[in-house]
Amino acid sequence: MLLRSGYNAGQLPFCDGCGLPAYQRRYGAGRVTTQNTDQDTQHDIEIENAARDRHQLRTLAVAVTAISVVLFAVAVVIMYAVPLNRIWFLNFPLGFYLLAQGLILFAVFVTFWYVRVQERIDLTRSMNEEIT
Amino acid sequence: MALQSRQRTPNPHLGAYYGIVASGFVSLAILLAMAEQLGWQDGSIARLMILMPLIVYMAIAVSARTLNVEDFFASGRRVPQVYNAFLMAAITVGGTGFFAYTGALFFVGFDGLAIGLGWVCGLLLAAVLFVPCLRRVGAYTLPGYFGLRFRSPMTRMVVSVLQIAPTFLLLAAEAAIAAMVISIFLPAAYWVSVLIVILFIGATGILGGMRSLTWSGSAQFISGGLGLAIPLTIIAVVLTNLPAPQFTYGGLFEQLKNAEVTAGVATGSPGVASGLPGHEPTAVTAPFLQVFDSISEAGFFALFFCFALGTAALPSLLSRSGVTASVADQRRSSAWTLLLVALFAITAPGLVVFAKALMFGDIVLIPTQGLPGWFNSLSELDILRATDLNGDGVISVSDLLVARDRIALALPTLANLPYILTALLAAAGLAIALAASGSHLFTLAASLSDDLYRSIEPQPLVLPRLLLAWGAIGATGLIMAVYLFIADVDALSYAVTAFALAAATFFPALFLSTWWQRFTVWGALASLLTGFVVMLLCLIAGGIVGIADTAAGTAAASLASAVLAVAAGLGASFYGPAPKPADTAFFEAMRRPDGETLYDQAEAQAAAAQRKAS
Repeated sequence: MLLRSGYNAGQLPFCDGCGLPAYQRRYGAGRVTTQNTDQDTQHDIEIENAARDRHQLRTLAVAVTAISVVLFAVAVVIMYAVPLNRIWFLNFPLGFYLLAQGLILFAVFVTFWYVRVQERIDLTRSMNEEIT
Repeated sequence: MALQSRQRTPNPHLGAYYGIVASGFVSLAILLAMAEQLGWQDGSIARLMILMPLIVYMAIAVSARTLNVEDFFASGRRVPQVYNAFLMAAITVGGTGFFAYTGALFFVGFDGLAIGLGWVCGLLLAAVLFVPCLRRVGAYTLPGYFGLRFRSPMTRMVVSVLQIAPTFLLLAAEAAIAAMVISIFLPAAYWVSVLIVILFIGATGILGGMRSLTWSGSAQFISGGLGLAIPLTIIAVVLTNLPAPQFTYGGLFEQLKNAEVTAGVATGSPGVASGLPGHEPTAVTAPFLQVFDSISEAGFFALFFCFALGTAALPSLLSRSGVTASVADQRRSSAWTLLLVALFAITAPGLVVFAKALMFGDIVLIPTQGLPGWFNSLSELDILRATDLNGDGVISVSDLLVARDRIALALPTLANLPYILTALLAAAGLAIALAASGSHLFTLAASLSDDLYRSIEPQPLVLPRLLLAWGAIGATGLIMAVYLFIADVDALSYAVTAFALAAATFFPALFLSTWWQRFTVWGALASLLTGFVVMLLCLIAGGIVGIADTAAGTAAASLASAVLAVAAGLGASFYGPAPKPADTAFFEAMRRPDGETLYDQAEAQAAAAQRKAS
């Protein structure tokens, strides 16, 4: 029953699409249909949808890159830990060094890179929306 | 109703305040080091080193008291990135990482590295996958997020109940570690120490909730970091002539290997996995650099992924996602957290190698030079227990039983350095354990009170909401104290189970709800319940048929549960009813990087509707 009734009306009114731009609140969110709108609004909506899709695609690409690069590196090092340990680096066996330090520092590097790139992507979307 | 973003300005003097806290902590250590040279007793030094900072933490918690709901649950959403990172790093590593992880590395060496690497990659996963969306939503708790995402109080209550198990286990582990440190260094029995810890974290939570925890916890993290860095740097200079233990401990590998060979620490056969050590004192049997000796390669993978997914979906960490000022701030805060945890993860093996090389180097000399000087001191602290098990009249490595959770405290004594450094390490570990246990207690109690209360009584009244939270903190603290009096807590095993439960239960549902528009409330419920129930069955059956009775087994079970949970979530979403337009609208709004916090908007609109109705 709780599931069906959801929150009381007015308590969590996300049906209103709050947090979305004004015209999206008017016409509903998601991919906005272009019928029943005048020429200018239609143009704005197309630009808005394109900006959103570009933003989502770039966000996905950066996320996949950041995570897959680190996990792939970790998997390779774990799989080849024994042969890597025969090589010595800075007085450490290489396999041990990579798991204890190298990959961890690499993950830190990738995270700061991700933060930088994602902020630029977010900024581009905000700027595009302001222009429209 | 369009709301303007509010200006959230943090206190501009924070840097100065915490500079004073840090210099006060260092000055206390220097004063006590001088007092030690003047002949003070070890006991007095340890008591002052532990109690004085505790008074400071409590004073900060008192001064950060609040009756404002947003301050109480989200620290006013104006915590600067790095201060939030202090707390998140303390929660990730915790006293369990400080004492039990280092202890595990002492016993299993190479194979234990999966845990440290898992923390770091888990924080990366959280930063990339969840944190931006969770900050945009800005719910006070993880169940609150699910409630808003699907506009379903039932999901909110289900998540609130499911997060009890992992958070309670972590709280028990952290509180037990904190109580252990207090009982070693203060003249107090274990049960008195438990009471001190519970009263301390309970009072911090009741006084100012998340606000007190944030500011008191920042001081605790700074003390913890300094208390670990100072002794370790001094020991690194003594042993390797360079003040960078992380990069120089490799120079001791040769010495350690020779000592292990002389001491007869046998090379085990790979594949016969004995797992992570328990908390009872045991003898060291595996050489430090032996690869996949205690844990098999598959077990290493499982443990790594279990900790990575568990860290990414840990309720205590994610409930701190709403305390910074913006999405960008929260993302940066996650990156700082990762840096701080990475610093600990690359330092911990150094601490262990120093301790092991010093200890084994002296033990192999026992037949010719007798018992080393540190032997009695460490026995008094219950770090070591030696009995001539094989009856050959000489104490060898196999006769030396080492307590896993206390080995980090042994390092200054092994290096023959002043006692103040041992006290400093203890104060550091205690501070981190208190910060982590306080956060776990608050997460548990806040969710139980607020999510339940908001589901039953939707009117946003301040006092009943806070009263209920205070009551929940008190009750949870009391239950935890009773539990710790009765139970024999193995911190590392509890932590592994907690991370496994978080990975199995929350990771799949969080991942699908933040990245898949088509995910429905039925999918979320199916995913959450499948993950939790399968994991729980594995844990219950673990003792009977040996599925999850080792750390690697538990980790593997959590991964299998997570895969089933994803399948259940996908299946229920595809074959159940399609998401409502409001769900889709919320998903789109949640993925926008800018704008007012969705939770605050909902609260403001609910309050406006309330006013209009009355």
